[in-house]
Amino acid sequence: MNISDGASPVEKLKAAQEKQQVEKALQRLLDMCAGATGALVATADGFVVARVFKQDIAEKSLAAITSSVMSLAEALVNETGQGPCQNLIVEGQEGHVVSLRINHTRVLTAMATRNTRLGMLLSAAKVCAEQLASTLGEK
Amino acid sequence: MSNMTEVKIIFTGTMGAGKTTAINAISEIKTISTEAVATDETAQRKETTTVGMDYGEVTVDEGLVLRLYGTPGQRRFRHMWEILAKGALGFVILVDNARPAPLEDLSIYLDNFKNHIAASAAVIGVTRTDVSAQPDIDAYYQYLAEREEMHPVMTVDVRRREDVLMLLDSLLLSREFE
Repeated sequence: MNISDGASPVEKLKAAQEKQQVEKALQRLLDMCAGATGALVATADGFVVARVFKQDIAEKSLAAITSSVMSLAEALVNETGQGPCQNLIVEGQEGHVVSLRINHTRVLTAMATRNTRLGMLLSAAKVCAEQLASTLGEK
Repeated sequence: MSNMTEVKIIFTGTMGAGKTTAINAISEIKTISTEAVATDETAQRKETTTVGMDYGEVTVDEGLVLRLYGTPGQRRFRHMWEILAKGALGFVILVDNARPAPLEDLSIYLDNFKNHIAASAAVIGVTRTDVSAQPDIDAYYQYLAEREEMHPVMTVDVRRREDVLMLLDSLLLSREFE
């Protein structure tokens, strides 16, 4: 299932246009951070908008999980009075994953190898999210 | 507080059937929710949908606290289904009777949580029967009989506290909690 399934022609055109814009931004993210292995933008309710990955990835699952963990991270900072949530950082044994909200309806997830400095990945992801927020607007 | 027992209950079922609403209707604490703007078919009926989980608590008996976890409804969130189902001692499955094939909808959750339900208990709450009266309760029982499963089935208005508590009562009755 994709975000454009069952959509009108106009909506499909808009989705295609957004996919193109987002892919460009994600590619810039990967160019900016050498160790980055991939990035994806999902709708806040778990559909793939666009993705750029150096290896194969189960993009649909990743989009759904991205929306779940982002929502849970936001619930966590709100419950602990540390909100609003700025980003989510997960350090795995093999690499880092960061997630950030672009706007009300879009979430970005980016990942990098373990040798990548976390700060590099995070700042590249932040720049990407800010660019996309201004391109896509506050929807 | 030493004789307090806490039991984990899962609210699952069709998107838009009212899982979040049901937990909000009975929780004694401020509920935790993880709503996102809906872009799928849910959007036709409501603006937001649960993408992580809901959480609330209700005391049903002196010493028995139910910890209420709501799952997302859509199948793409089944990673959350597995995470949330761990350690649950009862499942409330809510089915939206106004959707095209409510019994098929029900089967998604009965199948997915099969092993968990076999080791615990389940109750089925049929919602929006004011919009669509069919299938009726008999049809649900017949469907369960064909599957060789026995769970209580009742119609509910999930906005009503007493309706949701009735669901939990019958769930508790079908299982002895220590």
